[in-house]
Order: sequence, then structure tokens, then C-alpha cells
Amino acid sequence: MSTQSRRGRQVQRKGKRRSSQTLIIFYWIIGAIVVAGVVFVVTVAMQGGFASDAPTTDYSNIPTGMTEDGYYYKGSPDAPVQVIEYSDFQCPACAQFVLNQGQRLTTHIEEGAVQLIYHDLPLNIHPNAAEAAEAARCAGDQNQFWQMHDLLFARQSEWASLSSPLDRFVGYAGDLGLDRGTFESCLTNGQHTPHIADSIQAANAVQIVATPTFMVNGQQLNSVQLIPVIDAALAAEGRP
Amino acid sequence: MLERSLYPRMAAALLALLGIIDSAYLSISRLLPSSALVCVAGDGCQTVQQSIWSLLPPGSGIPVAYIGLGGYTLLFGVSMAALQTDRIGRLALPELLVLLASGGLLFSIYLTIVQIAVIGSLCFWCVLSALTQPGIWIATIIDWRAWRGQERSLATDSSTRRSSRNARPPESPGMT
Repeated sequence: MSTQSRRGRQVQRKGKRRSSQTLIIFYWIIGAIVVAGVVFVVTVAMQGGFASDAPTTDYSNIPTGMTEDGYYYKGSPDAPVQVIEYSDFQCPACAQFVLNQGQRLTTHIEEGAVQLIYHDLPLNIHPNAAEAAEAARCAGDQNQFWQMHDLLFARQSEWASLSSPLDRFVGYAGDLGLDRGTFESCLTNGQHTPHIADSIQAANAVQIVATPTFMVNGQQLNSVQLIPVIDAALAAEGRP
Repeated sequence: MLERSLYPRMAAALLALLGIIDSAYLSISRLLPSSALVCVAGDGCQTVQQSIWSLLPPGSGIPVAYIGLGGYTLLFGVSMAALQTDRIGRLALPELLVLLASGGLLFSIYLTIVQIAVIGSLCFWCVLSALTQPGIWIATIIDWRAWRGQERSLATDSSTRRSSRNARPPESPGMT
């Protein structure tokens, strides 16, 4: 009887020791998760980061601004080659151009060799294109036109088929760290609608019928022709 | 026996902690005007978070993210306490855990139905929470059943001991 109870007590003690060891390990795991959780919440929520397709172009070293007639540009106004781009944020070929050849163009822009001027030409066949054009201009009001331009093209598939892309665009504004309230009221009030209409009219006047279309020295080019023409123009200027 | 019975409570605490991180993220992105939700998968985060259904009552109440944060914190606190003791005063913690987890599960089912049937868009962080809740609920049910079984066997033990003591024959019948 007494040996049995002693053995029983030993087994109980061993079990208790094991369970307190398990508990200590568990508390360490909890502590580690708490630390990881705090780091995660603070970095992701505060910076609004983590998006894999967020724009990667750093615009701090590139001259950007607006031309006298109200079009956004990037690249030095003194650059030897001036490119006018007629584009539509919902056009798949325009997105392909930005995603595939954008980097090549950006390199020229960073080197001061090219200035790119963006002209809106939202086509009727793309129901969300005009609103996207306005979204980019509303971001431009907060000095982030090109960042929104890149984001709209990078995430085109997310918003192209929505019946109302407003909430999505406001979300992108948040991703870029813009003031969401100001951005949303700019978009809902149609603050830039007149400018988009003017831009369409100007494009029609020079008989642009497709997007993207580029104009270099008065010559109309498509996306395949553009880079060779720029390279040739730069070579003629004696630049690599 | 003791060690095995703690596992469901550990699971509940771990899942509740994940729920806290998830709902804290949702709450912070609500509080800060400049931060938007980042969707790890799917694309419904902004649509869901900016809809009137992200408030309770819809449109003009408390953000559901805050309610989730409060609920998960309570669940986490109680399940951590339950690792040390079964009762606080007369309050049986396994029962309280089942009650809290059931409330959370119902709330989570409501939010999932709203996302699918009304908003028509699923938000990754909300789905994560909706997956956490049934896990917590199952863990608390397993724990509660084990605890109830233990309570019953303890009650039977003590009543057997009591009845055997009562039935014990007088030690020296000759004395009477």
C-alpha cells in the first residue's frame, strides 16, 4: 500500500514537472509571437507596406512637374529628347509598356536624356479609364502623380472590371500615404474632369487613334518603335 | 493527465493571440487615415473594411475590428489564466471559455455571411479571423468536456469515499 502510493506520488511529481516544462516552453512561444506580432503590426500598418507590386521607382532624384499647358512630366525639361505619351490607364497594352519597357525609359530619364510628358486619352471602351485618369491627377494634387500612375498600371487587373473603382482607388491613395479624405473628395467632385476632357480633345486634334501612342519630334510612334527611335536620337546627339 | 488536459487551453490561447494580432492590424489601419490594408491574398480588403458592414450596428456603430480585438483579448486572457487554475472564485474558466468562444464563433459566422452574401467580396484578414474562431471553439469544447469528466469523477470519488465511510461498521461492536 505504502510502496504503491509512493510510486503514485513519484509518477504525479514527474508528470507535474513535465507539464511545468511544457508550460515554460509554451510561454516562450507566446512571448516570441507577441514580439513578432508587434513588429508586424507596427511596420505593416504604419507604413502601409508589404505590397509586392508597389511602385519601385524612386522619384526623389527625377525632376517631375507640370508643363505650362497642364500635363505632368518626368525628366529634365532640358533633356535632348522629348517624348509625349498618349495613354489610357485601363488599356492592357499601355500597362504592358510600362511594366516591360518602363525601366528602360526610366534609365534614360534618370540620366537626363529623356523628358516624358503624359497625356490622358481614356478610351470609351474602357469604363474605368476616365476615373483612373482623374485618380492619378488627384494624387498629383498631393505631389504623387507618377507614383499613382505606376500603381494604377501595376494593379490594372484589380480595378479594371469593378463596377465602381472609387473605393479601390482610395485604397491605393492610402497605400501611397496620401490623405485619403482629400483624395476621395477630389475624385467624387470630379475636380479634374474638365482637364481630362481637354486632354482627349487635344489628342483627337492630332489624330491619335490608339493607346499607347508616342510623339517624338512630331513623329507618331507605337510602343515597339519608341525605344529604337529614342536610342537613334540620342546617338545622333552623341550620347550612348 | 494534467499535461494532456492543458493542450486545448494552450491551443485556444495561441489562436486567440493570432486573432489579437489580426484584429489589431485591422484596428490600426482603421485608426490611421493614411494606412491602407494590404491584401496578402485576394483583393476585397478595402471594399470590406470601407463598407458600412465594418461597423456594428452597420453604418453608424463601433468598428467590428475593435470588437474583435476586445473579444480576442478576453479569450486570450481567460485561456492563459486557465493554464494555472480551473476556477477563479466560483467562476469555472472552462465554461467561461466555451461561452466566449461560442459568442466569437457566432459573430464570425455573421461577418462571413455578410461578406459573401451582401458585400460580395472577401477580405483576407477577415477570413483569417473566421478560420481562427472555429479552431478556438473546438479547443474550448474539448477542454470543457475533459474538465467536466474530471469534475464528475472527482465528485463520484468523494461521494464513494463518503458513503464508504458512512457504511463502515463500528470498530468495536462490543463497546456498544
